[in-house]
Amino acid sequence: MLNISPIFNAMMRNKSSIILIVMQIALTLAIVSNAAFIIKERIDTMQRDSGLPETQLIGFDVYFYDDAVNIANQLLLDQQKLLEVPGVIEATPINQIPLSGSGDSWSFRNQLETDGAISSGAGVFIGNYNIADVFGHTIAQGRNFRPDEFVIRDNNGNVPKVTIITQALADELFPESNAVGKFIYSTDIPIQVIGIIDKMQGSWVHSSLVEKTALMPMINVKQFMRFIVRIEPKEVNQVIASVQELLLALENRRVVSPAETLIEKKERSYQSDKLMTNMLVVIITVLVFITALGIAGMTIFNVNRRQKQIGTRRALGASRMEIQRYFMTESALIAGLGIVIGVVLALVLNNYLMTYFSATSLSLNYIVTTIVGIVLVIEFAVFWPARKASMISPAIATRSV
Amino acid sequence: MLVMSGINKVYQTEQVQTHALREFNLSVAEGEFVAVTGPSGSGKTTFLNIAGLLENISSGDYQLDGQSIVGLSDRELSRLRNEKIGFIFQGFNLIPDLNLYENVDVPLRYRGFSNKERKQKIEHALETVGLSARMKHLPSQLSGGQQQRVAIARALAGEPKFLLADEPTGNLDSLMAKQVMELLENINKQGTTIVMVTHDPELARRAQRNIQIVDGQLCDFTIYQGGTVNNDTDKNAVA
Ligand SMILES: Nc1ncnc2c1ncn2[C@@H]1O[C@H](COP(=O)(O)OP(=O)(O)OP(=O)(O)O)[C@@H](O)[C@H]1O
Ligand SMILES: [Mg+2]
Repeated sequence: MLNISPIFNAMMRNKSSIILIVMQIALTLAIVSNAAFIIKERIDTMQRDSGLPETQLIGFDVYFYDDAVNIANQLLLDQQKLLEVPGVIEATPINQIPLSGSGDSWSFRNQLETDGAISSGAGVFIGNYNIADVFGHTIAQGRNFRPDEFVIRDNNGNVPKVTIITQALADELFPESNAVGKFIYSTDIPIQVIGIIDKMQGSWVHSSLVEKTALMPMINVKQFMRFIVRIEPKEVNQVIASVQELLLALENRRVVSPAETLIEKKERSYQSDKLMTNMLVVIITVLVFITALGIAGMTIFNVNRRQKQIGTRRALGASRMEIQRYFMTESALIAGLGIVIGVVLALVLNNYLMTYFSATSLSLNYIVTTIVGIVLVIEFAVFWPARKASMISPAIATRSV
Repeated sequence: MLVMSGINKVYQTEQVQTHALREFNLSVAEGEFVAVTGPSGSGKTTFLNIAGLLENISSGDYQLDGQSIVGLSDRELSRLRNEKIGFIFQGFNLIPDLNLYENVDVPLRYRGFSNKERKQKIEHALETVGLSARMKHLPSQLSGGQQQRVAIARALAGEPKFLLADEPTGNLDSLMAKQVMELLENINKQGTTIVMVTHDPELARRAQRNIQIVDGQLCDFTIYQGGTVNNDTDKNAVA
């Protein structure tokens, strides 16, 4: 037996008493559904596969301040010595460290002529010819670098002639054909794609280029260099602790930064996302809690205000269940009004976020899930006040004037 | 219609124990119009609440329309109130946020009548009290006497056998009180049993039978319309 219409009519004759709570529910719905959506997006971003064995890879910076040092020779010596350290599987000097938030990108074309070329940016990782092995990649198509393809570039203008690129970059530059064997151009020097790896994220985790990565066998000699080392999982901490000392013992006219795993670098890169999600979780919790309190408070107030009415209804034949149901229905109707307005607000808010903060379009699932959540929380919050109402003695109908 | 035997009602508050009804015996026959008088605090409302199943009894037995109500569940009691009993209160007790139509509808909805049945019963009840033209008005837009007439319509709409009124004219001036009283008399003539608590000896005298409650006990002065006074305090003279 649904008795919605008289409850609704009575409510509508008291609009001013419900307008605040309706608006509160609407705002909660709008904010919570958008916040939940943003949280989900951020979590998805954070949980993307980087294509790298993050726990096994460490990176550190090396800064040569003394011109007297032969940097290229020193780096190759360092590499050799690092490979002798127990637990070290692979190592290479490198220009940038993945997921770290700093590094280089180049722009590539799929043909020499700029006219009509497809071009794409890519994070370019340059190191020794073993660079793909250092990152633990398997070559999905084509082949790995050969030792003779490795070049040292100081001021002689040497450029590698070969590259291994990710599938994402291959798909971008050669959407219709297999990239292996094709030439790509950054300047007008052709670089041949000799191999393809499935996945490797670059240095900027929030960039659209993050999945577009190229590897090249070269040392581009500069004062500021980096190393990347892959280590047996059990030995990681040991190597991190000793690596600085080892390198300074070989050559102390330089600064060697403390080594870190890629996990730590990654966490730092995603720190703002983490902070944002935590903040949004707090906001959601607080909002839902306040809304629950608000509607529970309103129901308690209404129950007290309507004691005589409740007693009268009981005298006229309402059972306890029916009184309880009355207040549960009333709050559900209020929630319903809030939800109708809230859905509109949620879409407006999402639109605003899309326009000004390059958010994506809110999926309807989030609105629906939030609605279900809000209704459950509201009915839960109202259950006890409604039960209290049902316990009011029918005798109050004759006792209070 | 109503048989109370050996009813006690004790209110227990933190410090005081109030014996509101003691060894209370009464029977009211179908079709009677009984007026209940008595000093303030003597237990009239308590009696009416028990008669109307609004309060439970501490001990004794109460049979309503041939059925003992002792041990019934809340659901069963609510159902009985809804079907057999109509209430009229001193303060009218209309629901302020519902219009007259919706107010009269309240007990009918609990009864589970169909839309069509309810509409017909509501219109008939409002017609009986002469307020059909104001169905969409809210109670606050009516005078006290009109409000009480709506309350009577509400009590009548479900065609209960038994009408209970606690000081129905207590908040009305004498003219309006007279109108309400006439309405109740008409309803009684149609066969509805009425028990009415009143302070007004004038109105009480118009009932078929007067009973007086003093200190939680019954003093039965039965006045028949013929005018004979039957001063029988011990048991119910009418069966
Ligand atoms: N809920 C309660 N708790 C405790 N005592 C109560 C309660 N209700 C009534 N009483 C007491 O029971 C006694 C009878 O009260 P009742 O309301 O029945 O009197 P009454 O005859 O209707 O009085 P009045 O003419 O003033 O309406 C009074 O002493 C009253 O204080
Ligand atoms: Mg009283």
